[in-house]
Amino acid sequence: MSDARSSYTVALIGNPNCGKTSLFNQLTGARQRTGNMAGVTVTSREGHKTWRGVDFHFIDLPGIYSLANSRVEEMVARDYLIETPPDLILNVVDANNLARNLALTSQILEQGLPVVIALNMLDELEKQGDSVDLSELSLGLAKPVIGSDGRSNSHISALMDMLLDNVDQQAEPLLINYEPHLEQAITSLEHAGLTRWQSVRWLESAGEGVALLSDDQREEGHRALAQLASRHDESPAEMVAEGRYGYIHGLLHKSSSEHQDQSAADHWLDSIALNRWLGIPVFILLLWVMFEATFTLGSYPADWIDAGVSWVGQQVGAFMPESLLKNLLVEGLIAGVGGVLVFLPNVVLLFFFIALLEQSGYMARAAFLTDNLMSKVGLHGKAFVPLVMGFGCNVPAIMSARTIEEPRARLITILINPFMSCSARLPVYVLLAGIFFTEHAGTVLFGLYMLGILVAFAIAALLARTIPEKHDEAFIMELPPWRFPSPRSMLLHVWDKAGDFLRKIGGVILVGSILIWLLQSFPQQGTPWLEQLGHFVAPLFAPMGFGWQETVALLSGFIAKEVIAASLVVVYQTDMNDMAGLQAALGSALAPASGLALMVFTLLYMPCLATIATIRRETGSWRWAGVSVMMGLVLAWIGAWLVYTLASLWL
Amino acid sequence: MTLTQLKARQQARIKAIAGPEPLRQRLVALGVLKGLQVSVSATSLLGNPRIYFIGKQQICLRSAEAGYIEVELQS
Repeated sequence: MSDARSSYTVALIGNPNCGKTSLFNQLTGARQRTGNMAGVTVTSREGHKTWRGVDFHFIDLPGIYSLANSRVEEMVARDYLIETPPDLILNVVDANNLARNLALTSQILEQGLPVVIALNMLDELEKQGDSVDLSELSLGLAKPVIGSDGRSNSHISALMDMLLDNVDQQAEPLLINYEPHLEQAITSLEHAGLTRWQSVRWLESAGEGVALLSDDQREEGHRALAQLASRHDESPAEMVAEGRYGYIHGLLHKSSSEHQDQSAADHWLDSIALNRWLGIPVFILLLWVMFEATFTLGSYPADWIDAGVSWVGQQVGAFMPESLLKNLLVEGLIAGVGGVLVFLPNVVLLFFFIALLEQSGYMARAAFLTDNLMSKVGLHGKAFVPLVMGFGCNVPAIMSARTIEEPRARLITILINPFMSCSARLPVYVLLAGIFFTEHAGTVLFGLYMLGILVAFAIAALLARTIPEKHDEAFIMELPPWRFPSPRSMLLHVWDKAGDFLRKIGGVILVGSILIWLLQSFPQQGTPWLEQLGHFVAPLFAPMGFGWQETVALLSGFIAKEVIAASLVVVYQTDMNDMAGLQAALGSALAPASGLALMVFTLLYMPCLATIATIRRETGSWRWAGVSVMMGLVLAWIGAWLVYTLASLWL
Repeated sequence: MTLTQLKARQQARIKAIAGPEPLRQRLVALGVLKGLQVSVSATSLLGNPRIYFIGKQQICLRSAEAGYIEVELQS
């Protein structure tokens, strides 16, 4: 190595669900999520690691099945490899589905790119009583192969050493022998000036997947395809695949023991989760348990935080001289920020459960269970992931709708996402449900989420009938095996979300609380501005029994939904600056029916600023962002009024 | 017969795959190939979609797509 460099780029490539992102996290220490659902990693991520004085720049490409398909993720990976070839590819291969994973490997090898192969999830394979001979496989592929496991760090140094050893790997393109007619076609394309791998790629993608061809080459390509079509019923894609799998089976014959079917535990889990009659009840039960646990388990640490916040408030109150600054600190800042901070445990729990659904493999099963219902409203099972992610935060959820290719289904998924009640709305529910429905708070919570889902579906059905249909995208989904989520990645994920929440409290909510307090405290003589504003808009909300305080809180929630809770705390300035005080004040000011209506209004009304901006970006127009805002406001008003009217009769 | 006609607990082998080119490419990429053993793994409440064991993997398909996959029963 005469020209030893100090930095190298390594790209991670692998099938969806092969544990690639976990490995990426281990290598770079980056804090990201591994989804168990195809295509969660849509855009590539980057990270660094310095190893033995050499800087490695890692790129996590989207999970793909092939380099020859024309799906978004595949095009991202394909273009990347051609336009900015990395110094080395780390091909992550799931040991439990070797043949299919190696099909992608064979495409990379044909292209003659330098590769190191990480055989992932060997532990799962061994649990099944199967084995792979790594050295035999390495010999067959003529590439270094190393065992890896996304759940433990023990193999990372060996892997890094192997990467370091291979940064100057000289790669010879792999040569697979295809069926004679296919070989003829390849030869004719080679004569036209294509390389062998380009010729194969052209044929297996039926004329896509190879860029920058001259007109002559293109013509020759179409002629070769036409000739193949006249000779064979099979598509060229199938014929190429047969060649690939022939090569792979030859390899595995020597290196891999024969596989069993699904494990007994997986079979048992699936027999319940996918059961024709039990599947949907179990799904609904799981969701209910999730919300119930979010509320009940979260209330214990919430009490401790509440006690801490009141203590701080009392200390500041006792030691600071009476002044405007003291009021700002105690009534504006500590009360407002503390009022939202209390909900940290609930929010963290909710994200924990969503991550659990995703990483265990249940999310894909739920997509199967709900596909039929989804298809009735112009969506399909794939829209399920963005919708459940919406329970966490609508912003990444709307971005994840990129995995849906059919434009209409994608637009509908984006527009209904704000009705999936995000975690920012949770504080308002927890606060109000705790006051007005102490005994059944978990059930009220569950009911609100269900109402959100129902409204989302109704709107989707309506949109599906108004937006013109384009071609319907086929719903083909691989079910990942059940996996026990790694505690490490769950912890990282929850830690990340807690950090996001705290940053939001330190930013938007802090500013919002101070702003509300200012508007509330000035002018010092006469009616405060906030109250004036509240009274001005209040008639609009009077039919639901809201006072000017609730009106103001709802207006402020436009910035971020957590601010609603903070505003309620600030405007209901009670002598005690703790939750109990606020609860007492709210409980006496509002009728239970109004409390319920306030929750429904919070659930349905316009998305927060960040979400509106995301809708605008993802749909490419202000028009749809505007539609989303208007739709939310109208529905919220009607919904809250209905709930108030009906609940007044019963409660 | 096609995959949609396969009943629970029946074993079959894929004979041919028809349908539009993008669908065929998609199936091939997922490792759905001629000659593979198939059986029904799960059926949703209304019968569509279904999950099939194809080779060693479980794949969820709607009837519209499964109808393009020709299979023959195995005893």
